[in-house]
Amino acid sequence: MSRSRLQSSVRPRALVGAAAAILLVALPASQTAGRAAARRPQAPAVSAVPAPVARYFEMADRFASGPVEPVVREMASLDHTLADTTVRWLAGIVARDGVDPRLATRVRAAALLHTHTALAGAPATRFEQEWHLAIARRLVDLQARPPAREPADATARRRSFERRWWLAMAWYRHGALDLQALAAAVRTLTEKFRDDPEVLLQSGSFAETLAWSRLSATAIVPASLKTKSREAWLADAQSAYERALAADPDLDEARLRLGQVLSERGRHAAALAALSSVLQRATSQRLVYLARLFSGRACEHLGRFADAVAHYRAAAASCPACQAPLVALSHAAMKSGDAVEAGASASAVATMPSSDVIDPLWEYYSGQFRNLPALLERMRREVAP
Amino acid sequence: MSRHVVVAAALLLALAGAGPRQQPVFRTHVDVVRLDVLATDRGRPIRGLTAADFEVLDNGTPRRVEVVSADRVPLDVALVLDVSQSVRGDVLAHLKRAALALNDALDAKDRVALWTFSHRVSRLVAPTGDRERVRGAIDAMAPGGATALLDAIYTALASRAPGPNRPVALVFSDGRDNRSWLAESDVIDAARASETVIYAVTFTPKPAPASLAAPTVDVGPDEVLLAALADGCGGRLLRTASERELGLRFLEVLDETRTRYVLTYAVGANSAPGWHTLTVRLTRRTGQVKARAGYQLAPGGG
Repeated sequence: MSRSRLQSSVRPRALVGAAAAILLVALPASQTAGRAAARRPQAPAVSAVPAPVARYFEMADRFASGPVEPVVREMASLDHTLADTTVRWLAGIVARDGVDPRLATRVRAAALLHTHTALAGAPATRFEQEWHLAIARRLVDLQARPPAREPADATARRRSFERRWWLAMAWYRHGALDLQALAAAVRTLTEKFRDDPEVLLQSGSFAETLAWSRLSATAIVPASLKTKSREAWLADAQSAYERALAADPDLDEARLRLGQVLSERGRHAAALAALSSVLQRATSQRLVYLARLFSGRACEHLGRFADAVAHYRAAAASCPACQAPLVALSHAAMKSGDAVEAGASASAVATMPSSDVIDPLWEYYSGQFRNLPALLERMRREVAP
Repeated sequence: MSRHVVVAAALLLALAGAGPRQQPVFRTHVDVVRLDVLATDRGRPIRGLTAADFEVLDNGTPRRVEVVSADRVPLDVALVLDVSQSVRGDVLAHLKRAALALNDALDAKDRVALWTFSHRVSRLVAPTGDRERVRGAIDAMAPGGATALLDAIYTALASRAPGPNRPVALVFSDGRDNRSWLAESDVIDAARASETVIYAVTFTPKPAPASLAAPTVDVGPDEVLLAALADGCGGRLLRTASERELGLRFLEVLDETRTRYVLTYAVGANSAPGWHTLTVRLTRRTGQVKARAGYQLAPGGG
């Protein structure tokens, strides 16, 4: 499974409103921008928008309206000058008065277009990818600068966009196991949104990944992240998950991960309590599957082999194409002296038909990467004209 | 797996009088422990040994053993091959040639099973004497994915049905595990309790010059793990830095299995259940003996 590219699940939208969006930019005297300019005379009139910037925002509007792929292809082949010019122009506006809410929406669309181009647009080089992400970050920063006065909901939108964009960055870096960039994204998130439960969840899963015993066989671990012991990273993860749950008791992903971390720290009874709560509450098949697996392991550590076998059987039933529960079941049976079950479960692995099903366990240390396409699509819909 | 409890079977003591390559007959209701041992002197296999040359201690208690040259007992070879993304290209091509060479070199009564692993573990061919079938499956092997080495080894060991053939697993890997459910200790313990002799063959490409080396993941096989696995069950680790030598390593494994000895002794009815530590030594000459570290006797066994 390649982690180097976001597998885009973004579906082209119907071309609803696309023509209007194009007109909005193509005609400088469009009502929307004109009204904004009238309200704040010191802000640049739309008629003052330089032609390259207008073209740039026209692309952003088309992206927001969909379909996505043609615009992403266009952006991927675009000269960098256009984006650089736009960013400089925006920086000038921000320096004078901040970005008004309508322009901010289009800036968000542009940021998402660059993000999508970097992650799903197959840029030719890593440099290209990072350039798009750097431009996107500049745009995210610029949209976050409000004018002197604006309604609270507009300010909340800026902040929400900024938070989710940084979460998207962290999720992407986590999926790619680009630990240096992930650390930077987590640091930014923590500085800006310290007590946000999703940020705490991300922070915890980052620490949990750094405690993963097989990390060095999977990713480059920068020296700056080798300063803590495995136990210290696990303690960080536990603390982050507990804070996340205190802020949002419905965050079952944090509860699952708390259970796993407790088990990794040898607190198997506490782990079982957390995982049991997931099993009672969660409706997600993925969460239930993982909770079964982790509960089984905790039970094994407690010598409760019959309970472990029951958990593994349930996990196997919930994901028939997954091998891990059968391997676990065989091993637990062997340890409990049940050679027949051990052999039968191992044989079931041996005879399992090939499948493209991705065992959620394989993605566990990729954090929330699996949710990235859906997040970006939600964000795109919100900036549609 | 832990103990070769041969129900309705024991090694026919008259085997010594049988012709070469004759399959032993198992015919009585005695539970026996079977040890597949390698005796070497300065790295070279010692041939022509008899029961009098071996001393076997079971939890410190001497056992009277019967010995048969291993080349008279057919093999059950499990090829457990890493086909993760890292073997794409030349490594896979040479790996296929090596597996084909071993398949062709087996005796008529030997059987072979073919396992591959990436993040998934697949048994492509169940134990069979059908060489063509194995050949076709080897030819069809394709690379891709991550590495679930531990789960693959465990599954190959645990799914084997007991039988008269000598079980040998030849594990090939060029990388480190990053997807298994099981931990290293889980699989080392399972291997120690297994009757299967594990040979591990690793391929480690020569590193790039230091000046050109960029930071990277821990590449290369986990030789410490694989050596521990092999040592615990009487096998060994064979390394190569050239994919072209994979065929030689595979045939070296096969040759070595044919120089081994099968030692058997009956388990007494009053034997204590649990782990039995085994010590195997040569009595009449110098040399080293490799054998599995022990076996697990289930309650009620013996």
